[in-house]
Amino acid sequence: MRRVLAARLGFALALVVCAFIGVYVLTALAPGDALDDGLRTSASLAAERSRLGLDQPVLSRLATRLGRLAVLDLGTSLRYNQPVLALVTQRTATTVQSGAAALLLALVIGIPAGVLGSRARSPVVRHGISAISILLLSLPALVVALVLAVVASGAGVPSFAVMVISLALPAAAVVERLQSRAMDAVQRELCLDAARARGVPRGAITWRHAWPLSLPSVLGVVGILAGHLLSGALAIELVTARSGLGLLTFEALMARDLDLAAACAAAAALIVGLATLTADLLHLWIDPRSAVP
Amino acid sequence: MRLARAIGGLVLATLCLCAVCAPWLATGDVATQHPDLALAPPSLNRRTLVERLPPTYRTLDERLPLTWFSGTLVRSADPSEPLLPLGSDSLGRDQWTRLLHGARLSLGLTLSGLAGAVLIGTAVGLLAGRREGWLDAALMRVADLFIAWPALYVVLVLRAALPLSLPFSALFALMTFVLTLAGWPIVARAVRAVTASERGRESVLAAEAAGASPTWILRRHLLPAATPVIVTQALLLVPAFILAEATLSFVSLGFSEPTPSWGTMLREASNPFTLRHAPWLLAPAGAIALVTLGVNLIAEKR
Repeated sequence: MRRVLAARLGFALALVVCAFIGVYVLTALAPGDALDDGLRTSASLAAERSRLGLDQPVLSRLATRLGRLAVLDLGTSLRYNQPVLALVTQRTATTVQSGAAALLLALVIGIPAGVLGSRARSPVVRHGISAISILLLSLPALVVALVLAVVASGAGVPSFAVMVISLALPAAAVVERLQSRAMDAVQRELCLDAARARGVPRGAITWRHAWPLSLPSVLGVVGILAGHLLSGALAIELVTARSGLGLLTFEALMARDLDLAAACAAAAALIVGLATLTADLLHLWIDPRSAVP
Repeated sequence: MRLARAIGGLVLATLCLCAVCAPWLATGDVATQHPDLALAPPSLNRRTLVERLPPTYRTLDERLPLTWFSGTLVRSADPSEPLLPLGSDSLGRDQWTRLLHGARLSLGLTLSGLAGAVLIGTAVGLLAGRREGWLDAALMRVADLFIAWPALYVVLVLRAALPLSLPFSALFALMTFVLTLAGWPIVARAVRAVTASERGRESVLAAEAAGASPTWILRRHLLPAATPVIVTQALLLVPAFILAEATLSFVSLGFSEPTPSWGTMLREASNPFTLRHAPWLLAPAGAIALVTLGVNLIAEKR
C-alpha cells in the first residue's frame, strides 16, 4: 500500500505538472493575444510585449515560468492585473467549498440509500430506490441547476444551495449504485455466513459486518467522483455565472491569459489528485490489511 | 432487467428517428422569427398579445386552422400565425422545430465524436494490450492523464485553444476532433484491459501455436472479445458528449446562432426570470435528460 500511495502521489504531481505545461503551451499556440484588445496601437503593443517578455519564444517563457513555480511565484494575471496565486486560491476555495459540501451530501444520501437498495426486505423499496437513482443519474448537474435557479429565484434560496444540490443529486445516484452493487458483492463472504450462523440479527449483519467490507469499492471512486463534481461545477458556473474555478478558467482561456489559465488547470488537477490520495489514505485507515502487499 | 433495457432502447430509437425525420415532423421553419409571438406558450388556439413586458397572451376560442400531410406532418394553414407545439423563444421562433433540428446537430455531433473515439480508442487499446512493454506503459499513462483530468476541462481547454469563429463545416469537424481527443482514452483503457486478459487464454495460445498470424488473432480472437466492452463504453460516452456540446455551445464556443443545437437553445433558458415566465424553454434540457435516461437504462447491469 505504501508503494501504491507513493505511486499515487507521483501520479498526482505528474498530473499537475502536465496540466500546467499542456495548457500553457496550448494556449500560447492558440490564435489571439492577451494584450491585443483593439485599443492599443501596434507600437505600444510591441513595447508592452517586450516589457512583459511576451516576445520571447514560448518554450523559453515556459522554462522561466516553471523555474519560478518552485518558489510559488505564478506570475501576474494580465486580464485581472492581480497576482495569479491569490486569484486562483480564492476562486478555488469557492469551488472546493461547494464541491466538498456536495460530495458530503452525496455520501450522506447515497450510502444509506445504496445499503437499503441492496438489503431492504421489501422489493418496493429496493426497486423504488433503484428507479429514483437511475432518474437522478440521468439529470445532469447542468439541467438540475437551470431548474433549481428558477425555483430559487422565486423562493430566495442562495446560489450556494442551488450549486450544492445540483451537484449532489447526480453524485448521490452514482454513490447509491456503487454502494448497492458493493453490498450485493460482499454477501457471499464467509464471515457473513459465520455471523448469520451465530444468530447475529439482520440489521447488525448489514451495518456492522457487511457495510465496512463494501466500503473500499465505494472509496475507490472518490477520485473519479471529484472529477465529475469539478466538471459539473464548471458547467454550472458557466451557466449561472457563479464565480469559481470553472468560470475563472474559462475567462483566462478566452483572454489568452497564459499564466492564469495554466494555474487554473493545475489547480483542477491538484484537486482531483488530492481527492484520490485522501480516499487512499482513508482506505488504509479503515482496512489496515491493505498496507500489507 | 430486460424491460429497462427495452425501454431505454425504445427511447433512444424514438429520439434518433425524430432527428432523422426532423424536416417532416417540423411545424415551421428553423430561423423564421415571429416578433408578435415572442415567448408564446404552446397552444392549439389563436391568441392575442395583451401585454408586451413580459409577453402575455390571451388564448382565443378560435382553433388554429391546420393542414395535415402537405409535405410535412402538420402545419398551420395561416402563415401569419404558426403552430407552436412547444411554444416559442424570445425571438418568436418555433421551439419544437428548433428542438428537432437541434437533435440532428447534437446527436450527429455525438455520433461522429463517438465514431472517432471508438476507432482511435480501439486501435490504441489493441496496440497496448497485445504486448507488454514500454509502448503499453506509455500509452496507458497518457490515457490515465486524460482520464484523471475532469472531462469538461479537457474539452474546454482543447476547444478554447482552437480558432473561435469558423464556418459551420469546419466547426463541426473541429468539435468532432475535440470530442474524439477527450473520449479515446476511456475506450482505450477498457479495450486494453480485455485484450491483455484475453491474450493469455488457451484458445489464443493454441491459435498462435497453430501458426496464426497476428492479424488473424487480432481479428478473430481479440476484437470479438473486446466488442461488448467497446459498446458499453461508447454508450456511456454519449451523455458526456451531449453535455460537452451543450456546455460549449452555451458559452458560444460551440455552434452559434441561428443554427439550432441543444446547447445554443439552452442559452435562452439562462435567465431565471424569463424561464419562470416561459418554462417551455427548458425543452432542450429535457431532451438531454431523456437521452441520458435512455443510455442509463440500456447500460443498466443490475
